[in-house]
Amino acid sequence: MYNFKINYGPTIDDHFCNGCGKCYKYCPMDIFGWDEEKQRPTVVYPGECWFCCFCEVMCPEVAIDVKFPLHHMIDFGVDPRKVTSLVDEFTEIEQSK
Amino acid sequence: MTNSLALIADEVVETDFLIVGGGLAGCMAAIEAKKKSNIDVVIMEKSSIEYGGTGVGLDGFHVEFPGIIEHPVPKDVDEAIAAKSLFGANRYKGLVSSKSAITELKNWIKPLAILEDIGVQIREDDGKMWGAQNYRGGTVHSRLKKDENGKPFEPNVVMYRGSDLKWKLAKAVYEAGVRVFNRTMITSIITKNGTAVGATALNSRTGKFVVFKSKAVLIATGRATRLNPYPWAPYPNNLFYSIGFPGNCGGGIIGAFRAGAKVANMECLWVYAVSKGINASGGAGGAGWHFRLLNSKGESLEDKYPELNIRIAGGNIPPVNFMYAPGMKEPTTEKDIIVSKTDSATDDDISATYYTAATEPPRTLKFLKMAGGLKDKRPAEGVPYPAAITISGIRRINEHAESTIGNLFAAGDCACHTAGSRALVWGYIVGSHVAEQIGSIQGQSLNGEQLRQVEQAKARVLAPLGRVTRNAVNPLELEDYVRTEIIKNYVGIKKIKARMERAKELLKRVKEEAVPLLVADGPHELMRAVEAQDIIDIAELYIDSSLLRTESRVAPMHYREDYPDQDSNWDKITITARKNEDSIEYLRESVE
Repeated sequence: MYNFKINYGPTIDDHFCNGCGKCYKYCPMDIFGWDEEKQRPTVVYPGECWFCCFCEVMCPEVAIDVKFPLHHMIDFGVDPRKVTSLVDEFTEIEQSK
Repeated sequence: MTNSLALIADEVVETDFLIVGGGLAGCMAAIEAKKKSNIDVVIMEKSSIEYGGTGVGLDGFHVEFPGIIEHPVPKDVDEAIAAKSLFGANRYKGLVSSKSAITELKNWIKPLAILEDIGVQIREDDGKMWGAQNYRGGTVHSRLKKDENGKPFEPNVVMYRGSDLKWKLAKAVYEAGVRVFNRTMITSIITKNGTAVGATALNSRTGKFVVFKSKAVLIATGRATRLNPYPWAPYPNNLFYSIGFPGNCGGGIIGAFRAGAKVANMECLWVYAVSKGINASGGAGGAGWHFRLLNSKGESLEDKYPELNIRIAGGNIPPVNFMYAPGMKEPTTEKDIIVSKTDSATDDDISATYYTAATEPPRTLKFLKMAGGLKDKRPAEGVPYPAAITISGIRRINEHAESTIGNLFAAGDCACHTAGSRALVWGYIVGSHVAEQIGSIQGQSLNGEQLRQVEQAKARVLAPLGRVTRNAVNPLELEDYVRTEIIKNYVGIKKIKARMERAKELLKRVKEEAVPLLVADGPHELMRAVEAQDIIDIAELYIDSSLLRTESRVAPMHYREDYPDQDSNWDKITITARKNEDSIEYLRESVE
């Protein structure tokens, strides 16, 4: 069965997120929600992301990775097989310590 | 009266000066107004003033005057001098006023000084400002362009380190004591006897319907970015993947229009050259500003069609002219593949691109990194993308940027040709003027007629919330139909009468049949439902104005396939639109 869930936009790594709420506060398109119980941001409207990536840059814990649609990667010459996320890179560095 | 207003509105805010939109123009107006006098200033911003708006980073002061740094602008600058400015009347073939260029020239240094005051690095390390030649020919500042005598053209813009410009503006706004209402979008303007006395708004987080009472109102809501889709993105990302801030749906323009203000030049489409996939500015994406655009034979379009250099041909932001070479009838962009060649770029080209990319949203640098860096990446296709309507919006009738409604001002992209750094200039002009004049403006009470306006706005805005219908219409689906089907497929860049008339029919059906079925689940979706209605009204003005202008001018800005030539009967003529009780009145008016 195909999964038509939107697979682009920001993803939040719960392990690293410290709940500071900056992404929720500043996202220009207001696509994040806020989980009151866990005191953590959620991604509610990924389809409305315009990939500015401000959330990724402002996140103090490098817990956000913004994923692009396949369209944009192939068109611009990005090899989707080679894409790694900052979260992955950061995790690798952490683990190697 | 206040009691009944309190009953209609969830919150009532009183202020001296209401600024709608916290982008470049809005923030600059607020800072200048607070600096000049101790009036109460409120900014209403759809996102947050730190990251909202198109100019989050702005690296160039594009007032565009030859010798802008070397020899100061003369005090008695007249139309002949102003016409030297590429952004003056000359470039747009009489569609914009040269008076506006004169006012810009007279004021250009003041907002730049304010930027320096608030900590933006305007000067280079040696203390000097860096002047660059802009739009001299398909490139920005990485390659010097020379005149026929071999002498380099004088610099006409100031380049500076502007990547944190918006953050610093926002900080200065807060420090000045301006009250900021983030996540608040305009839904209507309240008028009394032909003057603006406030506005209504929706908070997209809380769902609160807020009424602002104000002595003066500045509309600074940007261009109608959300009129054309980005056709190479999957739905619904095609609706939001734009160059400028995609929250801009023309809400301020249409709010002023519904309140009775005149709008002008609504047929003018801003076509931009982007690298496919990245949809960033031509400079940052590498679509021809710093790198040559090549056709499939490997020929450089810039060298092949030198007569389309913007200095000679005028027109849209380069290198759009080259993409549409040799002409609109058989443009290269339709019959061939254009690529921006980056692998043979010089170090100067590369550093210029990264310099530009650094002031774009971070996605540009992320994309360049993912693609392996500019030097090693595979060439991207250069494509023309209709980014918004341009040089259009609220018609200003005097040098203070006042609209045809009293005390209602317009600055920035929503005000006929005052985009980018000129938004800062016009924000400064309006902020300064309002601060001086506010003492002479009487605060108005909102009586029966105004309460009726507020009630009407509230009923329209909140209608989709919790609406129960078996045939619910999703706001994004409706927006996609209007933008992809009606605007892109039936109007497009090459406009034809019969197709545009069909577009009008479809738009009418959408308004009558689909809008009453809009359903929103919560305040965020309600915001999108309101935006969809704004876009529909902007689209109507766009199609009507395009039909009325029976000529082509500054193509592809306005190109009628059935009237492919420029017609002298339309010289210095603008099409304006004003809302009457039940109809729209379109007029041919002269550009001053």
